[in-house]
Amino acid sequence: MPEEKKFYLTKEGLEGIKKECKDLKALKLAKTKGESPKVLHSEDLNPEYLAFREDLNFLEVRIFELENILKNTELIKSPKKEKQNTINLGATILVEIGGQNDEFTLVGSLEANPSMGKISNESPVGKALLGHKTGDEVLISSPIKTTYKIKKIKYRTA
Amino acid sequence: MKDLLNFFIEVGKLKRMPREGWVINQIKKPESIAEHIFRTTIMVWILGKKKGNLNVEKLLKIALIHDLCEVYAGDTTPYNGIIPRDKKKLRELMKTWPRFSAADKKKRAFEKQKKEEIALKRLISKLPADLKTEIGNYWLTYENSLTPEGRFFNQADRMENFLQAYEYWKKYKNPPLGPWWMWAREFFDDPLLLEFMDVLEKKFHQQKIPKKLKSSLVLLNFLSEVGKLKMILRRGWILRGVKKPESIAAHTFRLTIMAWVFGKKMPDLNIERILKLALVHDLTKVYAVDATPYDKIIFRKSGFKKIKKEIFYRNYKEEYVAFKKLDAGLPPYLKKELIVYWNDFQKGLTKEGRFVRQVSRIENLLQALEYWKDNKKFPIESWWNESKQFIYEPILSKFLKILEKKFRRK
Repeated sequence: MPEEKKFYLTKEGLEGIKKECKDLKALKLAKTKGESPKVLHSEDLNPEYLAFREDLNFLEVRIFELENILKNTELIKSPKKEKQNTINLGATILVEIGGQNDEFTLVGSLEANPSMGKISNESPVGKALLGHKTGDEVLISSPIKTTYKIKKIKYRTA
Repeated sequence: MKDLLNFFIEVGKLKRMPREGWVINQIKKPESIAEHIFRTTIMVWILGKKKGNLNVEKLLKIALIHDLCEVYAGDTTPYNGIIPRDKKKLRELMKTWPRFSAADKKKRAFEKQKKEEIALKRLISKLPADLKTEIGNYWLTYENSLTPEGRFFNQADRMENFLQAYEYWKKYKNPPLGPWWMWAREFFDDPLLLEFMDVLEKKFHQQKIPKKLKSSLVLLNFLSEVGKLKMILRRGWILRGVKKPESIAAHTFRLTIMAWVFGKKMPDLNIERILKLALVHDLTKVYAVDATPYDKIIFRKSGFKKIKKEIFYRNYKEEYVAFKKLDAGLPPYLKKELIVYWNDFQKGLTKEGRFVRQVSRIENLLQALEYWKDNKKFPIESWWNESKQFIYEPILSKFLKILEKKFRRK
């Protein structure tokens, strides 16, 4: 069943999904025709494609998933220059937490991957940081107190 | 068949591999990887159903395979590469959540995934093509969050971890909770899991739980009780003097994997039913005694003569009472599902029930052989005899022969 929700994607994320969807459709077409698809000869081959080649059902499930995402996507746009000092979706934030520096980008749920430095806007920290400015100290206190000192906010240039 | 046996033996190593995160936190007798997988699988079944719109069979399979690669790759923690040798410094480090630069985060994540991918490929390399593809694809689904099930599992897996951390904290006042919360508040964003996290906090910090969270509290309590199976050792092995015997949770883990793998070869069986049967078959052991075939002899010694059938019904009744205690408070849809599968396993009511009962004997036999291999005084002959009497499914009988060949039975 498709998830009926809006997927907020960065420009980079949206392009990635569009490319994957296009490649997988080409792979499916070639597979039905019994050909060796061009996408498998590409130098920057996505290892998932090899798995999809082996399993048509898996390939179809993924194409369905990607189409559903593309139908419900909202692109994250960089705010106007005067508003770039405020944390919004797409912001890369340099913070100090308990004397340690950290850097992460605030993204939509679909792209979130904290171990890669991408934090969801729907996570408690993501929600708490939204709308704050450079210099702000954001305290999250339940049940352990943690302060996020916002040192720098930047957005990707379009 | 020989390759399947080797796969089961390799996967069985996870029963004895402690989770690294607890080792570095110096937790006494930490859970094994197999035990973590067991409760994660139950957790995604229960929470996946509550969430709705998710394919539970896929969730169960993702859960079962998600950490298999650790047989060779080991268990990687966020502290890998920065662990000091000095125990005092280690304790201090465990009070902090490690922070890395953006480039380092990407490098570490990439290296971990690469290492695990290589390990998984090695583990499944000789499996039949359809099974190899299925396991490989579910692993990718989880690792790269390719589907709603993959995305939900990715977080639910960590919620099991978080619950375990709290259970250790309650028992030992360790691990320190600071880093766990720092991580959790950046990591979770699924609404159901955020609600679960809220309940976790309120329950363990003895705060008042609002009415709207009561249904999640019931599930949390159930999962906490089920988690006790990680610590309950199988009585059959204790009676035979096995040192460090497996837990009920560890046995259930490998049984469920074996039932899935053998079940794939039986086209008329429903795999989701097989997985669920295997997962629930020993849940009653949270409260009921782990019965063994030797019980009648033990009881006879103390003047308690009972015929086999009567003993079955005594055990059944005892376990039924235990089941009712365990599922008390669960929503009716879940209660009904759990009891139906448990009953099916006990009595062999359906073809899936009868099949999983036989696979359970095979898993027992394999474990017995592994203990016998380590200690030749282990009384293995009775296991062979019992299995021969109990197993009739052709595919499982064939597997028995492979076992005989591998362990060179005279």
